[in-house]
Amino acid sequence: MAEPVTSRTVSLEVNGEQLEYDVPTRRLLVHFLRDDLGLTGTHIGCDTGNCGACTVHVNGEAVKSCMLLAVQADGTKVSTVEGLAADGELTALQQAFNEHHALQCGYCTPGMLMSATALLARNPHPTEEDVRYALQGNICRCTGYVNIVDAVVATGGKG
Amino acid sequence: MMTTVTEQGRTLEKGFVGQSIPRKEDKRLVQGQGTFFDDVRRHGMGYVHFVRSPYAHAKIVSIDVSKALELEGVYGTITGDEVAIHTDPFFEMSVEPGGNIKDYALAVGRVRHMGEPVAAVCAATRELARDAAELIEVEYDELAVLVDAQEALKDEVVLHDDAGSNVVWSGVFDWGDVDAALAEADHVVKIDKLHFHRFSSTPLECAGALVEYDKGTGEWTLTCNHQMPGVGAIWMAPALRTGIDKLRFVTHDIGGGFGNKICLHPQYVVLCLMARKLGRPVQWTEWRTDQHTANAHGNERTFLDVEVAVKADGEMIGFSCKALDDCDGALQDPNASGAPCVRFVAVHGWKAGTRDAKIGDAPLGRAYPRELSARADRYRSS
Amino acid sequence: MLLREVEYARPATVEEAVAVLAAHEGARALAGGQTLINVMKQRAAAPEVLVDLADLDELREIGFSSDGMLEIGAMVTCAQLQGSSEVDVARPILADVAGTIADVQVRNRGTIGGNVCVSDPTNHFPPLLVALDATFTIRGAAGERTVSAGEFFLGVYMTAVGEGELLTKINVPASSGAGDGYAGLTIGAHGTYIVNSAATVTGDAARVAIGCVAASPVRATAMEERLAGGDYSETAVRASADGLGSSLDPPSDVHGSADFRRHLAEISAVRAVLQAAGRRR
Repeated sequence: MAEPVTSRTVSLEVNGEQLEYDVPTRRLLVHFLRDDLGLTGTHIGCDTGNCGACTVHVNGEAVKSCMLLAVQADGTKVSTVEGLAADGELTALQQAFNEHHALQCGYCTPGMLMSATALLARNPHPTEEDVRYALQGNICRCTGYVNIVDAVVATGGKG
Repeated sequence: MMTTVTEQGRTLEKGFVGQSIPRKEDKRLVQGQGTFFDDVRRHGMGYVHFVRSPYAHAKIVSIDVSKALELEGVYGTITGDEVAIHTDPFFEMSVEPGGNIKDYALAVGRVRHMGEPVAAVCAATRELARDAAELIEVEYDELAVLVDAQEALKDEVVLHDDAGSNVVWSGVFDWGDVDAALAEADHVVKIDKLHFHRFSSTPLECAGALVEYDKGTGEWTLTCNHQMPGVGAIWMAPALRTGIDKLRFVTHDIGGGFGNKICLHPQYVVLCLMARKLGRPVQWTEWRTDQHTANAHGNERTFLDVEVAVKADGEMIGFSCKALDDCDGALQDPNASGAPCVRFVAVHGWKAGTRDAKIGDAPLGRAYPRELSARADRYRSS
Repeated sequence: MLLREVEYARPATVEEAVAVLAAHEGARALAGGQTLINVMKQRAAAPEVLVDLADLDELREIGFSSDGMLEIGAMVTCAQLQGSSEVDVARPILADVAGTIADVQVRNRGTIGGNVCVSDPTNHFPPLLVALDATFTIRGAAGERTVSAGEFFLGVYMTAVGEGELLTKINVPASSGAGDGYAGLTIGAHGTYIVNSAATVTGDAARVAIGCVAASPVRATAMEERLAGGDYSETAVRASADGLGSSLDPPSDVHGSADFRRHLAEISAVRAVLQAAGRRR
């Protein structure tokens, strides 16, 4: 439909569930996820697309949900941090974060997990360098990153 | 030997000391199940956006909110004039002249830093609040800008008429015999000027609150991320002309603070007033840009005429300097804990000489005003 | 962080996209959005209509033209460039440079077309495409035309793409033994460039383009002339850059003075040429 509109019905899959929703065209994906869908695990840490706290998967790729309009996600599959643990069973990565003390306040954690999960999906045994490259778009203010990198490398190391 | 079963189902064979203990909050945080204040909703709540000064120093000539109020979905506004009517100035933890400053939750009549809030608007959605803020018309008369602490000493541009000077406190901390130390030294290190620029600790989660007012009891409930809510209440209650028992702080998960979530009482007072005025819960989430320009900054300090008496083996036996603390246009730090709450420029002369003083253990350390989280970057010109 | 109200269109074909762009003054093409959405969040830009190119699959292809040039659709993302075997074979520098832009999330969405159409003097691709002698195909209601890199970048935020037009593809000569290099200084490890240089070197000729020093990439023509003949020893390359800095009139800003940029221009041009010379096949 090529006629310009200010609101649109989007049809998308979120964490495995097919949804249809009317959204204003100006609404960012992150606000749609948090405010409209109540998926508050995805966080906002900046207003310039730098911090990565809002990282989600769109069609399997890590993207910053604050740099996307909700309408741009029409027809896609979106995964958020809430979709990682199936039935409360933590993924190996989530467990590694706990074991390696890879979180303190937990605010950057969903974004870190989504970026790292995307990395592990395409590179199951990343080196430390691979992990650091993959997490460049995620800022943490508490941990100093070392434990986060360790947790991801360790997850890959477990085969 | 203690045996402890943790929440994660691990059994610890030893005591806690020396053990890596898994945290109890991780399980919910790695699943995105943390409760940060912006995750909380209330029926009928409104979203608040602050209108902020683009100028470092200016007189507020007028504020016209009428166009904002015409926008559908806007619930209401508040300006500095209203704040001055409904609140008393925050008390200053300072002797004169700093103690004379009148400091309100919004700029009243004058702005003293770029980013200082002058008005706030509340609307049904975040986007509408932002739109409405653009419709609030503020007329400013620019005044001379003051961005340097050394310049400030001249008092050519005085930021607070109530104080009458930019030097809000000055004193000399004098211990031991500095002159003897300098004479006895093997070397005297002289540094004309050391300047430490300001910084912001920038927690990943910005500040904010969801504030509800109970008309029947006069009690406010603030679901927020204040780092020191007890202290926040002490600062807010007198301003709101109420008791601290009427301010109930509810904090869950907080995305870092590092000092940046201590001085939130001005913004929170605005929210309290709006919640009461509009008769609905109001929510404000700070933007990163606002956090950088208008939230607390770490101390900007200038040390002049530094002289350090040192022995050949590296032992520091005394020093002398003149120190300027740039406290910004309106320091509202409740964390000065006994030391004078310095405003604008605190001029300290230190002299300390003692053979027993070690670096890190100097008597200076006990009297030096603790890190002053200045609330905002008052002196940056736009 | 919160955009002004904006109209949004999602055309199914390039022709439809061009028609919507032409029909609405103040319409902007939305590619990956990694720049446009960002500036709209600051309310520094507020187009009235966004024309989302997401469904235009023909703009997402990487292939070879009949005359052997690498053909890259304008909507090809940085991540796609990094993962493309065609790029790897024909002109791997494109993937190398793409891989240094921002971070994974930005590269998954950000497009080469968007990067060049922004024509920010500090962007990664413009000097590279000038050095590579790329051509740009633009489609409008009147038809299609192809312009050289020198004709494409017109100034800050200005390109040859006019109102009602769309960049559809970028063609890059296959390297045929040429070596490519890229060097510069960024703010932070993978931040914005303060000065960047790109170089392409064959047996007897070099092309050197410098970014961040003017409104659009600058060819270091005097340096290129001195390098003609094929001596790419370090001494010769350094000598060829003599006077490059003083021939430039770069801006001064918080990240660097004009003099610092002149200095960086010489160093990065030398490094880019040495790198390129070392990669000839």
